[in-house]
Amino acid sequence: MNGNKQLKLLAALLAIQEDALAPTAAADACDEVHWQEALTRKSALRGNARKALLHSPQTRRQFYFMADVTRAEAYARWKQAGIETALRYRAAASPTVEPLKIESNPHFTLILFPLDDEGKTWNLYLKLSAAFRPLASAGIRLVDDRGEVWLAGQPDADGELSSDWQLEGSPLERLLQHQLQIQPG
Amino acid sequence: MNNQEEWLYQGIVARRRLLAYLRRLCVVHHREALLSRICVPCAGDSSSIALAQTVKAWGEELQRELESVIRSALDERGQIARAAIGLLFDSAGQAQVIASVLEPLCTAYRHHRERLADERRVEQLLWNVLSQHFKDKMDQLDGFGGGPGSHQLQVLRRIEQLSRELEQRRGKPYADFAELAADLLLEIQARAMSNMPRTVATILEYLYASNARAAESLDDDTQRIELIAEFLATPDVLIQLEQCLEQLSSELRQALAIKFGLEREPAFLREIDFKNHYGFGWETLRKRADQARRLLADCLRE
Repeated sequence: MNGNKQLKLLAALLAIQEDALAPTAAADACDEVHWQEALTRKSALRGNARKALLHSPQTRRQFYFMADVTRAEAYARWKQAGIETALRYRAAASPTVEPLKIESNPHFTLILFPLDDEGKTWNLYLKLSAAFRPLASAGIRLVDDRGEVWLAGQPDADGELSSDWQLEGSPLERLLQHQLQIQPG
Repeated sequence: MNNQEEWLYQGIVARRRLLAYLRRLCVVHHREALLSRICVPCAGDSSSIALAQTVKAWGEELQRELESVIRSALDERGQIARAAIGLLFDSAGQAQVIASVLEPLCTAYRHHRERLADERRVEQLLWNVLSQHFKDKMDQLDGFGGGPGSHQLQVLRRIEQLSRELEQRRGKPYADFAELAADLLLEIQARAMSNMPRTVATILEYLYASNARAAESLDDDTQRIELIAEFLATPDVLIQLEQCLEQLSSELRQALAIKFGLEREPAFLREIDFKNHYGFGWETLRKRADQARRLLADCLRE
């Protein structure tokens, strides 16, 4: 079974887990500090913390909430710094397969590189501006308005993030139908 | 406050109906869940903190039930449930009033199975303190009795109104509640709004309290696959999952694959076509998939 299917199944199993079958103490302030450090990628999640999360829906609920708070705080910092998160691109479909550079947002640039002549495989490369880099160090994701994640992770020291195209279809076709947005990771 | 809300909190008849609703909820349907925990404490668990935690957990169960009513009923039932949920937020206040009658309440509870009079006494003691608490809360909401006008439900309404304004301004709804929370915080700060939350964490709590879709995203692990992938799905866990899967019979594995779309399988709109292809119907699929999930969940716990 491939990784995505395993994840889907694991999530489905966690979703039916009952607290009564796996009673665990509610997370305390220390747990929350540790989670926050993990969620902002300052440290790795400890084994016992992971175990508690795997075995208690109540603990996971708190963790998911903390993840949302961490992302909301990142959004607030970005907005205070005037970072626009949408990446607008509107162009006619091109019959030729060639690299495409989208620079409509001053804070990040997206480049799509075709890896073959037919445009079946692509590499995505995202470059953040110097001003955006320190605000995005905890992680970002590039998402379309269908909620599909194009790229996700922590940009490197140069503010760069890249990955192969893993969704179905061609990114060019999707760009014609959907808008892209940067979100906190 | 709009007319419907005035009707719920200020109208005498409406207040009675709301109290009757809360009585059914707290004293008729969920009394046992509360008393069985607060009157049979574990050793060392009889502190006021333990009571407060138990009452909080109980209140959250009630809120979840009300959220489900709100989701399913758009009529007056949903409206009453919505008004009721706002009165349940103050679990510390509930714990405080319950603490004031805890001893006689638990004495009566311990004997209630033998004597009907004790059962009535349990109901009476519990409802007397809770109903007074709820009435005080309603008064606060209406600004009666010197209420500060900053009750959580009023904050909730302001947040909902502000959210609508922000959505209108941006021309589309927020797909990401974290972004909405951030925009709300900045708007509250820009307008210097008093009696409003000052952190995104508090704003998110309000958003989850008022929005069933957002609240569901905290409970439904299938909506959190990215977090599971990054923080929980270690190689050890995935190997264990594979080993547990291998222990299932082939028919249970097949049911899981169909149910969760794990393999490329044909899709059928009609059950008869499904049955012709697989040799069993949808009900059998559901039962097998449920059994497989339970077995897998048990195996993973080991």
